[in-house]
This record gives sequence, structure tokens and C-alpha cells, in this order.
Amino acid sequence: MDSNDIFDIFIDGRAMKAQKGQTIAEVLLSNSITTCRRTRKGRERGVYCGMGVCHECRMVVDKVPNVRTCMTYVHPGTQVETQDDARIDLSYAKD
Amino acid sequence: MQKTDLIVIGGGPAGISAAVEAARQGAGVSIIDENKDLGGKVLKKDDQGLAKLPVEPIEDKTKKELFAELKQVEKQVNIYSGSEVWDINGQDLNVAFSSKDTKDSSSINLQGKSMVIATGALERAIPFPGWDQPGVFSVGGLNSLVKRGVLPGKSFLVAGSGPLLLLLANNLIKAGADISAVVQTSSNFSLFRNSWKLIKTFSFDKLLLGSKYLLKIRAKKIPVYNGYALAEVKAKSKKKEATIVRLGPGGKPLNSSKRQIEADSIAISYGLLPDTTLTRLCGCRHFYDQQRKYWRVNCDLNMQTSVPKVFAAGDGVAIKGYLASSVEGRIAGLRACAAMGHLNQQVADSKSKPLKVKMHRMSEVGLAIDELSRTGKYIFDLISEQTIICRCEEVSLGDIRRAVQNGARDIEDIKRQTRLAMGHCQGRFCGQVVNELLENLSADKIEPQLFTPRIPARPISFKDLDQ
Repeated sequence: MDSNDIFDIFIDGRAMKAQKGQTIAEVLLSNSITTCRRTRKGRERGVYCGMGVCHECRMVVDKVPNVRTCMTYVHPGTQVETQDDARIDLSYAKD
Repeated sequence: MQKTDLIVIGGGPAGISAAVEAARQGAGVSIIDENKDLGGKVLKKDDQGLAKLPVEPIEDKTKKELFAELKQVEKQVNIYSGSEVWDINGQDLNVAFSSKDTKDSSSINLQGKSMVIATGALERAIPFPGWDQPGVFSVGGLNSLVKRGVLPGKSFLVAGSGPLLLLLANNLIKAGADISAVVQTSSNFSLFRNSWKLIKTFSFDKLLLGSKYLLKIRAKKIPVYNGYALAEVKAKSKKKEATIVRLGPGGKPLNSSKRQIEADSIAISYGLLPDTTLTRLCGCRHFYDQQRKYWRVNCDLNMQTSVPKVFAAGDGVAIKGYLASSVEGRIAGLRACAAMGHLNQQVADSKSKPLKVKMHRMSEVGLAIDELSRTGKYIFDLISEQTIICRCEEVSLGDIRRAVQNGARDIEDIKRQTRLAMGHCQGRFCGQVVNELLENLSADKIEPQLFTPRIPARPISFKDLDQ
């Protein structure tokens, strides 16, 4: 296997090893991180359907909110943050 | 606007088969699939080498054969992988789809002369207290993860109904995980009765597979609770505490017979049902199948929907498994070619006849397997006032009850009052149970309804709307 295939991604600032071809959710769950976000009413939520239809696994990825982590592949340096549904930062949209 | 002859939405067994048959008749085909790898859930091509578990020989053989067929016609087939269809026009026969790369999603419009919709199935999700917390997975979702070597925890509870439970349990064993228990609603008697149905349809291969899985589970001394339902899940430090309840005569929960079982993660499923998002958005007629207890698109034996030149095939029509889905896909591909004029109607008839004969036998198998997932109406008795029904908008049973007391008469009323089905999943999950709940709460006979489908069928950015 190519050494280029293993790299770091960042979950709430913490570096974690990821393999090319994995989804963000796979990296989280391999590290027993099950919470992806907090709902508007403060409930913790995580991966449920695993196939992109329930949207429960969404997190802020590379500053973009509401990204379904079960359907999004990792690349070197991907920045993933636990999303707070009550405080979605749309400032990225100004770019 | 890009152009093609046949648009195939969904690159699983049905979609690939439709594409192959159409390409063989000279049609130009475009397959649009949301995943990076084609093959759907069972025959997923694994180009990154991330599939970690040994595959069943029959699945491996079918996969190799199907992809070999696709390779033979590859010059005529455009594959758009990692692409989700967000708009579909049945009259004009075009679709809009976008790739999911967060940084650079670009939307493509594709014009076709006919369509085959083969988008597969969803999990049947019946709410219960605690089902929405992290660490509770759908069986299908967890199965896909386990097959790629991802284990969220060391111990698992597998619950619900249907053959997928055994499949997941088997994969968990292969992956070296512990299974705290397998809990499923069918009593020993109904399992025996359904096995007899499988024998009658000559589905020895399915029976053999099922028996193999059961023996493996017994060999590992994993507790199996037949005739039990998962009643509640609570967080207990870093683990989960599950309460299971025995189902008595008629499937009624016997509250005097509850037990607690601990596990790191829970997997729950009550079978599969067709994903009708795009067939509905396309304007096809649907009906509520009282036997299978789900909505499905109206299709004739030629897989033609109520919209001319729009065909559907596979689990997205009715649950039937990957082998039957492939046969149906071939019928749809041939008939789409006839509809486009690529194939003479009589030739299409003679080519699809043996496939239809095969389909007749195989669809009975699908029905028999579907019956294994059947759960009685009393499963809804487990839902408490605080249980979340619409996960996206956090609408509880109590909220729905109040809406009914305030005069809500149908599901659109409930939607307007509570925001149920207005969230990210657009009613894909709550829509499965809201009719039944409304009927229970209002004590009126309710005709099952569907929510009006809206675009975008999948998330898009404003950039995608710039045409």
C-alpha cells in the first residue's frame, strides 16, 4: 500500500489517521466517536442510516456545515468539527 | 445540457443490468450512482481495497459476472459515480445531478430518451424510546461499515425483524466482534412457517444461507431472543443499556417480561422498503401495498411506470433481493430500448419473456423473505410520549398527539403544525410511520398518504442552481 494512502485528518482539532477511500464517518466510528452533532434542542446525534438519507451524521467539514460524513471521503488535512445545529456559521458563504 | 439515450439512476444490480441490456441493443447509456463504487449494497465494487470480510461465494460470482458484462459494453456506457440526482422530469426525460465534493460541486443536466429508476431500498425504521441517540445504527448502515472493517465498539446488540439481522450478526462474527444478543420479533412458530414458505418457493440457497448463519450464532453461544422486541435504549456510562420485552399472543408486548442487555452499540431494523423519492418526484403513480405494508411505484410486467418511457426496477420497486433485481433490470433495459425505438417490440417481447418467467418465480421468494420482516401493529405500543418520531425536526409522539387534538386530520396538517417531515431527510423516515400513528391517535380510519415530493431530492448548494 502506498504511504500516500494514509494521512491525518482533524476532528475538532485532534489529528487522526485516515486511509484514502474512507468516509469521514468511518474514521470517526473506527475511533469510537459516535456523536456528530447537537440538534437545535441540544440532543446528541450520530450516524444512523449510513447511506446518506437520514442526514443525522452531518458535521462541519472544511468550514462547510451540514456535510453528511457517511457520504464524504477524506483527503489529507480534512477539518471536521462537531456541528451545533443552533449555531451554524454561514460566514464561509462570503467567499 | 448533456445528452444520452437511456438514463439509469442507480448503479446497483438492477441499474447495471438495465444498462448492459440496453447497451447491447446499441443504446448510449448513462448510469448515475451516488457512491464512488458501483454495485449497490451487496455487489459493491471495492477499488480501494477496503472490504475486509470474506464474501459469500455466490455474491462474489454474481459481482464478477455482472461487472464483466458491463466492461464488455463500456464504450457505450457513461458512468457518473459519486453523483446524486436532485431533480427529475418525467415528461421531458431529463435529470439534474451533482457531485458531492464539498468544495467544488457542479450540477449537470442530462437529457435522455428514456429512464430506468433503480434507486434501491431504505431501512424500515420504527421509533422506540432512545432510538435517536448516537450509537444506535440501522442494521444496513452498520453492515456496510462492518464489511469495511469499521467496528464502533466491541459488543453489539442486533434487534428488529427480518433476515438482515442474521446477515449483520454473521458479519459481526467474521469481524471478531462480540454480540450481546440477537433479538427479533418473529416467534419461533412464525419463523418455522416462513421457512416452510421458502421451501415451497424452492429457495434452498436462501434457506441454506440462513441456516448457516443461525448455526454460527448458536456455535458462538450468542443469546437469541425470538418473539422479543427492543423496547428502549438508554446510555449507561460509555455503553448502552437495552431493554427488551417479550411479545405475547398477537405480538402484544408483555411488560412483565422485560430484560436488560448491555452493549457498546445497537443495530435496529424492521426490514426494507423501496425508496420512492425519485419515482414520486417524477410523477409516477404509486399505491400502498397492504400486504407488504409499504408504498410502491405502479409498474407493469414490462417494468413500465405510469409515465411513458420511464421504467423502474429492483428493490426500488419492491423488495426482492439482488438476484431478482438484476433480472428485473434486464427487462427494464430491454423495454426501454423498445420504447426508444432501438429494438423492435416483438424482439423485445421474445427477449424479455424468459426473464419474466424467471421473475415470476423470484418475486415469490422476495415476498417470502419480506414476510420474515413483518412485525405486528403492537410494535407501536412501545412508543412513549417523549419518543422522537421526526428525528430531523425533533417532533415527539406527544407533539403529534397535540396536533391531532388541535384538529390535525391528515399528515399535511401534522406537518404544518409540528414541522414533521420538513427537515433534512424530507420525511423519508417519519413518513414511514406517521400514517399509522395518525390512525392510532385519531381513532379514525385513515387512508395512507404520502408527502408531496419536493426538489432538491438531495442537498445542493446555490451554485448548483446557476444554470
